Amino acid sequence: MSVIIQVSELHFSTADGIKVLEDIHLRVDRGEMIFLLGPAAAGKSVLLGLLAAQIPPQRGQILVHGRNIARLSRKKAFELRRRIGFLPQGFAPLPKTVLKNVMFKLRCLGNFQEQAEEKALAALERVRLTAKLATSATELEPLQRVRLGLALSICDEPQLLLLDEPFSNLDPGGRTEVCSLLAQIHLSGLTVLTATRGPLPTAADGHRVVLLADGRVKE
Amino acid sequence: MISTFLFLLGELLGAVRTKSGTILIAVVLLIFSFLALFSSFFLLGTPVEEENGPVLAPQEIMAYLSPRLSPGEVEELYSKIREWKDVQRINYLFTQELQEDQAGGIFLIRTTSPSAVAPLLETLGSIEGIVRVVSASKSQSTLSLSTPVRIGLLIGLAVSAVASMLAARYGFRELLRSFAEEIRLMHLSGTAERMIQTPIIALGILCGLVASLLLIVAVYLFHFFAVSHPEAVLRTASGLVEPGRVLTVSLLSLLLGLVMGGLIGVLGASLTGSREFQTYS
Repeated sequence: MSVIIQVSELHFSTADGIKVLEDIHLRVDRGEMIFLLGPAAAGKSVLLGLLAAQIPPQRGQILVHGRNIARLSRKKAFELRRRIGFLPQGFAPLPKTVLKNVMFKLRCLGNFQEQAEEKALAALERVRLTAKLATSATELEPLQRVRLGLALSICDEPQLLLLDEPFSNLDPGGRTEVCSLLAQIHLSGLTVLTATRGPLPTAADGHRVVLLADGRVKE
Repeated sequence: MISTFLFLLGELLGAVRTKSGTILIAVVLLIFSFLALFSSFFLLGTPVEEENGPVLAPQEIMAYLSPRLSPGEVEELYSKIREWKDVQRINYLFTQELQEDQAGGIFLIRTTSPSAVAPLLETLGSIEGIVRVVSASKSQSTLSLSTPVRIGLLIGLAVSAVASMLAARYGFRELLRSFAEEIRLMHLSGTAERMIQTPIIALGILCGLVASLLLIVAVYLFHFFAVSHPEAVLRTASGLVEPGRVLTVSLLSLLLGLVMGGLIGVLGASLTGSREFQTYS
């Protein structure tokens, strides 16, 4: 199985010298579904930000889709971001309807109106949100917000999905539902890496779990 | 590419709120002031007449009368010329108005067309009592501005340029704040920075364009007024009666307005890279 993420000797510190990540080694194969489990402030969001080419790396090597993120030009970094579906922690939708939220992203990525609408509808159908197309995204319930976030992440057909705390603010039923949804998305061939502080829903059983604590990875 | 640009420009314009809109209108007015001051350099001032004679429109002729003519003779000549079919209008100017002390008064004649100027010049030149005739072709002048006026205009130019840049930076920051979520989403999803910035630059150019067009309208309104009332402006804004000069100034102002708007847009676009518009900073 080919590797989609390869992290070696990764270190990261804040501007005031606090070590966030220390000597991280991580390998993710294409088509895997992984849960990155760790307490608050363990460095999960930073690691995901680094993998998504949103934070410039300091020390170590990160290969995503075979590309060394540290050596990417600005243009190549943008190209790489397009191949990664990324749902950041505390995702806030735009003050537009659900459909227009997804279409906005697709239009920004160069899709024409009809093409964007087609892709947006397909993505919203995959996350079972078609009943809320005309609803304002800011009025959605937490679970529906996560669904919208997922639709935004997968709408441009990425190969890698990075999710930062998608289960926060959800009740156990909501967590299970999102986890099942992720499993379905994963079955379509996507590699899914989900960072969470836990507890993991039962639907996550059988998938690989990586622990991140004190800036270090433990499997 | 163009479709995405137009889409984003529409979205950006949709994000204009009362505060940012007011500031952007102020930016347009400041650019307008800058362009107006710039145009003043070329339109204001008195003509340097020693060699070339006064400034006239292409359809105009100035006939200098002999000081020996009696008021009755001037009156008679005035009535005679007014009846000619090629003469659209004739005004009598006192010599003091143009500091032409050696003349006994001046007829400012407007012909029906520029082609009528040459034969009329010949006819007027042969009339006894008219000592000199001058037409526009001989009178494209350079304008002289006094040093204090020149310095004032330069200071005004600098102040309006700096003020428009500062107001634009503040206005764009306000505008981009109401568009911040969209910019963050674009950054996250891998939209190229130049794609995010181009509509902002275009908005700056649009501000410059609106300011230039306002100025051109104003300049032409003044031009039409000056042409119909040359005696009112000849001593202060002689450039306004010359169509060629007015056109050149208008085109230069349009170009300068677009450049100024572009610079302002670039200034606004540079803000998208700031921490405020990043999910991770």
